[in-house]
Amino acid sequence: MKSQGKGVLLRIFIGEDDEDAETGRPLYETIVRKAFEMHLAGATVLRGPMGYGKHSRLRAAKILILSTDLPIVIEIVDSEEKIDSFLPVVDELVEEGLVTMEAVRVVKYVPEDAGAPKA
Amino acid sequence: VAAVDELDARYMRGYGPLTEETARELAESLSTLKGLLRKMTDYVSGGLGQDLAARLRRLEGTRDEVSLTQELERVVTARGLVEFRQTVALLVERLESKRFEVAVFGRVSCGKSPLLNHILKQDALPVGVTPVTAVPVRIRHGNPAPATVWFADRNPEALPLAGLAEFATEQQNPANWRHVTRIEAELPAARLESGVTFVDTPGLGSLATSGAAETLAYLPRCDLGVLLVDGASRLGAEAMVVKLEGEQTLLRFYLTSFVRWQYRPLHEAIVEAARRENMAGATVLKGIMGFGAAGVVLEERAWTLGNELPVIVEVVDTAERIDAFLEKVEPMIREGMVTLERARVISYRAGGEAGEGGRSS
Repeated sequence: MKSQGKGVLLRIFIGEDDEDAETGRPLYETIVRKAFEMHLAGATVLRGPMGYGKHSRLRAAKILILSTDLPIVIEIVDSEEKIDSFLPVVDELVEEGLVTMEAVRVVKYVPEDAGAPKA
Repeated sequence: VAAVDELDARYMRGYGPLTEETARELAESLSTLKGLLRKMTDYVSGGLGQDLAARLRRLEGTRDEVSLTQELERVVTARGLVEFRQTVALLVERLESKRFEVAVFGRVSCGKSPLLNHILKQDALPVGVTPVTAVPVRIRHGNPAPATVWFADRNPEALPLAGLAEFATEQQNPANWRHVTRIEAELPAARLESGVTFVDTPGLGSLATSGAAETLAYLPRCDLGVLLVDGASRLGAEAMVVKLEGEQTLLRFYLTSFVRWQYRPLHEAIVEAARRENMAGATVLKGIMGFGAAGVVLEERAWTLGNELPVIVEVVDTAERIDAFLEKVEPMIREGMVTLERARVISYRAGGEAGEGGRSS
């Protein structure tokens, strides 16, 4: 990604218990790894302490499960083309949830000193 | 309409056999429903619209704004934007009355009433050291007739101007227990001759007054708002209630918990800088996984203490203040990403004193 200019913020709202059907690992892990493999500028996973979604009524019936299935938000910022190229992946992986996009202005994007790998 | 059509008995057979009687009942309620729908469609597309159009025609040629309002009315009617009808009606009302309302806003006891008394060249409004004005008071030109007080629960009452204090002040009408909704007074002051109406509002930001809510409710109705600031006190968070709501900017820093600035976490340094610069607020969000420009996937690991995780800092304020703040903190950002986006602030209220730190967005 260019260091400055127009960008798109992609947000994926899912549940912590949502799984990748293939590996059985948390879905957010798979999404982040895919984003990493496709060389997107970055991804951040945030866990919400509370929330509800389209299937809240269904979840409320199983109150014990509700307490662990917390909201997860995955945020990815990149150029519009890169985000667009990532959308089919999201479409395939996310079976239920919410995906939003908004316009952002990237003020600064700095890799760590010459991109040296971290310990 | 399509959904109602589907209620027809012919389409309902899928849910099981229907008796003659049920089918008849269904047909009856269906025709009632359709009638209501037709009425609603008429109302939305024409009905009231013509009334507004007629009123606008009467106003035609008075001022430039009329043609603009006419255009607005045309668009609202043509597109069936019912939700804007009230606003247009309000504008037409304003044009018809040929009045121009100038309202004075500000913190409690910053001298709104004394200022208006000075402009009017007479002591018409009650003044004092403690919060005084409890209800917005309108003053327009006219003979020194009695002031009129409107109540939520009974008929309006006329009273001499000297008796205004009984209804307009916090001392004699605390928390507006008399349920006053509106006070209007007419004065023969020369400054009011041109048709201007002055509005004195209860001060913002006092725990003792419920008046602030009245002021905020009135705010969008005035033609011109004057924000009065007391030179001796700084602009507090309460005064910013007026300032911050609306289109603002959301600034976000994407960092990790390990990025440091002068031997401490950068996100802490940014929050502290935001506080020092008196920004409206700052929020730190902790991520549980992610990767960034450094190109390493960070993850929560149960077996390590204090492992590196993504951190986001959010700051919301006006575009100018965000720009100024960004200039100050930019040298601190040596890795990570910074983005800006537009945010619409719906409400911004502080519970305590200014500077205690509000919440963003």
